[in-house]
Amino acid sequence: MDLTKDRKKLKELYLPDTEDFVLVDVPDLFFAVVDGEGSPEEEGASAAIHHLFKTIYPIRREARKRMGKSFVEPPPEMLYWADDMRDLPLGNKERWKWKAMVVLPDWADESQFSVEDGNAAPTVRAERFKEGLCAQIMHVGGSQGIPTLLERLYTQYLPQQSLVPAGAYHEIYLDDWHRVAPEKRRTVLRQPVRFVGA
Amino acid sequence: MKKSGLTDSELLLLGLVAEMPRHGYELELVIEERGMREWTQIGFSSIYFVLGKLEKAGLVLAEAPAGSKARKTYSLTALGRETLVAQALELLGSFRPTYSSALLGMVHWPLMPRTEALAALRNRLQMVSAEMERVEGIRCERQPLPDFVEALFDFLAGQLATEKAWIAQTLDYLETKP
Repeated sequence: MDLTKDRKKLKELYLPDTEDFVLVDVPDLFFAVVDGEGSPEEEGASAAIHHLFKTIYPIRREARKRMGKSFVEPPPEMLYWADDMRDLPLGNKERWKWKAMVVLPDWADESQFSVEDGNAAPTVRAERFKEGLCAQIMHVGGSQGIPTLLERLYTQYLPQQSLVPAGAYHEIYLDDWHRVAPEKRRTVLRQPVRFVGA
Repeated sequence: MKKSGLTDSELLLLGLVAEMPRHGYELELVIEERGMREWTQIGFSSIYFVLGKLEKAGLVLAEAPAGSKARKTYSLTALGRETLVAQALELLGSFRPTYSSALLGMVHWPLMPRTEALAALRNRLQMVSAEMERVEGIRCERQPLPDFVEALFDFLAGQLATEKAWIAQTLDYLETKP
């Protein structure tokens, strides 16, 4: 789905309310992806995001040219999971696995990626996937505020709605951390879910 | 606001402190990372000098946490924000033409030997092309950039493209001219 053609859906998915969790249906989207493991706070994750955006630069450039004023900057996104999913809420970050991602336009493909001369760089690939039903909320502030919100999600909001997690936990970073103070950073927290028994 | 306001380096440092409170050394790193030295005169030693001036003027607040090795953290004051916003608006909203060295060279065209003058223009064309590539390289290396910074790069790239087209057209004409 091309979200830039449906601004209402775009806002619904990327600019949720800060008040409480809401349910959204996330359609099939197209991403450029880099895989990684270990604590996202270590160098690896930010290097992966930088590499990801460098790789898709030719596509971003072409998209800005083609779309003009209807171009929307795609933010960096991260999926987190662990072999034992309990390691996620427990914060055992060294056991986390992650995917750094950015949405691609529908017409893009891997042949348009920029080619890195070094071979140490991680592999970027294009991947389509659909998260479906998700609970999400906008968090404004530093990352230390996130665990409280997630606890509310997993122990209150989801059980009250008869929902259970069904897929990797997802964060979308709407602000550049090099330019925006922690207390002002906006992060979308998203958890794919399904109804109990479904 | 008094006289012409802040100098370029004062304005830039104030802007970096406005993003979030930072130490002097952190400011140095950000200035380096964003390649700000290319377009402003700001040396490492002058960062602390300029910060001192901004502090004295009440535009930034310097706070040193307790501890012997603690570094001062600089944050923006309300006056600092007001001054910064006013000056940025003034810069963005008013146009002052700048003149390229090409004009001062070109105006003496009849005096220069034809072959050398044409060679000079060709050389300029090469330099502009090289600069376009360099700017594009920096832009790719700094990804992802927020949209307002992309706009800034669009401005630079557009100016270079215009100059390149002008040189090519002028060369073409002057080379053909009987």
